[in-house]
Amino acid sequence: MSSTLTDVVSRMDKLYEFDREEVKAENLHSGSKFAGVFAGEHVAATEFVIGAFFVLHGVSLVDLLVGLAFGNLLAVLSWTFICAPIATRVRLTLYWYLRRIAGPGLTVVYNIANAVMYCILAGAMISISATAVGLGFGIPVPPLDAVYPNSVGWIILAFLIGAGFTTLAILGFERLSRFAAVCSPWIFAVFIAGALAVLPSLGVHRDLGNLWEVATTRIWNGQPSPGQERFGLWHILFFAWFANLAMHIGLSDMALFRYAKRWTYGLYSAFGMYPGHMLAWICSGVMVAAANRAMNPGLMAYQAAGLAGIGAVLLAGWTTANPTLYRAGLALQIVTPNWPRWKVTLVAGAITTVLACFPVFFLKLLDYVAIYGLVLMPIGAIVFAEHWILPKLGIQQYQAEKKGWVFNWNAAIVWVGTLVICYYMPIHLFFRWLPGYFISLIAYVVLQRITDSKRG
Amino acid sequence: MKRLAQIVTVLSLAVCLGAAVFRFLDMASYASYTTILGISSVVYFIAATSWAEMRG
Repeated sequence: MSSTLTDVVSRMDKLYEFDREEVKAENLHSGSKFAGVFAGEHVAATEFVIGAFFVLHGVSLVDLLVGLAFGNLLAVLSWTFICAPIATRVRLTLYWYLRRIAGPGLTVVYNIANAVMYCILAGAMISISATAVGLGFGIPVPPLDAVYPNSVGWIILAFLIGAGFTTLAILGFERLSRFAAVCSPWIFAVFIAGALAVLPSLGVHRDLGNLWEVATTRIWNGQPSPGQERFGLWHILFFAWFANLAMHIGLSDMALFRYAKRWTYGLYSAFGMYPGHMLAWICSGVMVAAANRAMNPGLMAYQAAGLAGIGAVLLAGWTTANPTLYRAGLALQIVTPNWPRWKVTLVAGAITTVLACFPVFFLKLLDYVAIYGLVLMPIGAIVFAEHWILPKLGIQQYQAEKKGWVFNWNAAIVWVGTLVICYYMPIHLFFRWLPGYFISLIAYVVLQRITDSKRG
Repeated sequence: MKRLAQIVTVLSLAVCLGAAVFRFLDMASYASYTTILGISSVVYFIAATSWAEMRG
């Protein structure tokens, strides 16, 4: 058992060897590069669904605007004050920093958890793309409460799209990444064009004089669709904040910010948040209202922008599923000894394709995004505590590294314990991560203090 | 060539948005709007991909 784990750890270290060294001063990137990366990454296929779901959940316009403005601000501040300062101080990826803190064994577990999360997310992207392609073949989109596929056509479609995405990911990740950068501005333009073009069908006058009235009565009118829970200001605010929880509070974006000249580069995340997680969500809300609140991203994009709309849904799904498949493959490679990258990507693609057949992952996307962030959040809290709080309290840092622990059991207990507590919290799923974060911070500091004084 | 690709990329995006403005103002039918949007999108991809290739 112990030798197996050692093998796995050694393979994982080799896999991430290329980013083991701290980033050197001459390799740091300019602020405009960060603005570009954020602007490109946050206009994805999921944006077609998230903004539309806000309408179905009966959000009012004021709640939406205030919630998105402040929620995205909190997300930007989380990147700026939590993620970027640690990244610019240690200049390492989360993988290597976590290895020092949690031990190589727990880092393996974290990697596998990440891979599973990535596969589900890529599966949702494929499902969303399937709604666009299915339109041309008359394949019905599963109803809002569906868990399992509702037709053989849906399964075949999800399978074919999943197979297509996987094949393209195998053929060339780098080239596709460059193509994704080309797609982003166009996808964003289609969001704006689609929303603008359907406004007259909702009754908006040419002079925009009744825009507010239409927005408050026909789009974000505070009336949830049947079977949907009503969302208010706090739901929207928290959703906008935790939509990328794994990246900022969870510290995954240390991989990006280790190239930043200063921690203030976290502010460049605003270039992704406000166009992608505010404007695009508002646009998809307008489009779904014009499509009579039908949760069918393909249909609503087609009605709003014709074939270009279909292309936007498909390309948004493809260009975001591609790096997600790549990351999942990278994370899975630790348990697949000596496999070439194509084979690992094939396995990740196969898992993702099977998941894509189940519409629940895109129809419950808001809940999934919350769970995704929640599951990885305690690791962010553990790293934050280790980096900032332990030295302030005079507790020894990096005990796992110094004492050669394979597993930092304190970190493992905090991770699992926090998730168990969050599961039983009598509050809405969207709000659980915040108390959970503080529970993780406090519990980890206390346990490390106990361990330090015992072994010290 | 690089400059040309750059200009066509930006212009084609502007045409995409312009077509939507015309549709909003009821100065273009749905068919005209989606056709112009489709054509300008194809032009965008040709120009933007070339520009990206030239930048390396």
